[in-house]
Amino acid sequence: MDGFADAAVPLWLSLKVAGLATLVVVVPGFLVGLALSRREFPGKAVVETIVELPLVLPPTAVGYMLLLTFGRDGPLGRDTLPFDPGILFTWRAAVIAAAVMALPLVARTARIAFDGVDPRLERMAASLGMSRWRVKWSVTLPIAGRGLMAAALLGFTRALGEFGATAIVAGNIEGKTQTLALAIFNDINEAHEERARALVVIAVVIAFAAISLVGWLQRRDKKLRGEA
Amino acid sequence: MSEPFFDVELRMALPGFSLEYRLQTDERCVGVFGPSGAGKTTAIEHIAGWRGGATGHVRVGGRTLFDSARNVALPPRERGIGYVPQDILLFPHWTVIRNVLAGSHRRNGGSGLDVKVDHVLAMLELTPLLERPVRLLSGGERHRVALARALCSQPDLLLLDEPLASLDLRLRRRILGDLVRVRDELGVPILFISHDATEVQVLCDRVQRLSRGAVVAEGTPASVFGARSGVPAEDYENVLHGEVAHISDFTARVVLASGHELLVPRSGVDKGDRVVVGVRADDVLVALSEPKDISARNILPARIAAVAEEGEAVSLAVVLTGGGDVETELGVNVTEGSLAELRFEEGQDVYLIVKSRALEVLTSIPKP
Repeated sequence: MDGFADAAVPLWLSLKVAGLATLVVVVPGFLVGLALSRREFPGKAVVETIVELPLVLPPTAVGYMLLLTFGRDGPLGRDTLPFDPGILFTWRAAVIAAAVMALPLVARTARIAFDGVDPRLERMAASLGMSRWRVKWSVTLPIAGRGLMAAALLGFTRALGEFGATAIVAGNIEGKTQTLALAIFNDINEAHEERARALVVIAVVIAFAAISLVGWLQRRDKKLRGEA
Repeated sequence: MSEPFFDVELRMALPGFSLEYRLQTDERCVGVFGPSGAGKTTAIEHIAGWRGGATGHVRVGGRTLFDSARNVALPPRERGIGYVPQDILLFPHWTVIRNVLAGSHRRNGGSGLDVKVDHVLAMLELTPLLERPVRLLSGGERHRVALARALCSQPDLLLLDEPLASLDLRLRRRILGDLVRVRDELGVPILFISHDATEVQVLCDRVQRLSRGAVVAEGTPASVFGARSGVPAEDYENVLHGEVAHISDFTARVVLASGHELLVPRSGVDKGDRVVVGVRADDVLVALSEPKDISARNILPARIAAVAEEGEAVSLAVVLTGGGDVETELGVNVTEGSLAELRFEEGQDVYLIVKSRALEVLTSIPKP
């Protein structure tokens, strides 16, 4: 069972990176989902496309764009900013890469969750005197709640599996930026079969649990709305 | 000259026709009657601020909610309107009491209305349901919660869109009674949408009839629905308001505002209750002389006010005579054959004959 003991470091790093990436991505992801669900604005199609880009682009291409962004003379690089953000090739870069890659899935799923909230309920809340924020906070969010939890969970699993973009901006530094996905790649290349197998088993278990949970949330949601 | 309480004028294009809605009256309980698709819901959702795209103005109690000429359009939150839509729209994630209190923090819009939550809960018999999640409620309970929620938001105006449509007869009667109490005990102005002429007559002092987006008739219930209205009369039900003066085991004696008495089936009412009694225009007989030795319990002197013929359907507008100052008018359907034989004409004195079993207590409001 050596494999599982050796798996602890990349597993912990992956959970940390994916967890933080999820925290980073939920707010913008939910806001984008809400805007796409509820508002008509000029350039909506462009926003939709940009948000969905990471879903269709090769992850390495996204990684390269992030590299340019955070590189020395990039818009968020150390020569442009008054300080050195110290992001590239650290676990922070892995968080950013995972968050960017998870955004489309989170925004899409959140949009579906918000689409499921009858806008007439929001109008009713407004007619009862609630402010715009109160309507969102106490009506829209709770009713979309389970769908939003599913969105965050899907974002988390997407972040957990992130490989291409992470490899480019964070590298593949054992103990520092080598997440579960990168470690599997490494172990197969270097014939560390035992750990590779352990990591794959862990990945399958996590994915299985996450997908079951998402399914359960969505079924419960339907039941609450009286659709099932 | 002071402005009328309701001063509404709305014009908007709808698919297939255009809406031209007007309402100018000091009556505070107005029924909007018409078939589905006539534009009733569109009109009141515009008053609530849920829809845009109209020109005109909406003023209620002197307060301007909307005026396209002056570029005023208050958001729904500032309109002070309690709306019970056809689809009820309870907040599905909350209990009954959270729903009821959803608008209770709203500050009063200036109507001076002070609705007490406990009073509303007791009146609508919601007290035992307070902690129940709304998804577990029955249809009638959901309506009552929606009504309580609207009332507890201290509205300046209550908009009710077919609040009784999906309910069974017993519940409809029950909630209709609740609405009468809301009108009388709380004094909330009401715009009441319905396609049921009887309901509108029970609740409203003034009625509008909408057809394809336009107000085609407006006035007292009798003038809009009665024999002189031109509305097809075959389903017409007369609605009479009165008070129970005497009860026996099976019958109740109801005194109408005009002083006339009716013997009706008791159906749970008590002495002193205010009641609304319905009798279908088909169930009233007309005699030229006072009938003797007849089983029917209600024989009322009356005078024919109008005779309306439409094909073989003949309806008479008949006013009860020998009463007080208040007029009671009934619509009566007769056949073309009896018109030809008995030669009914305007101004003729007749007797109306109604079996007690043909009279139905539509709703009752217990003596306070």
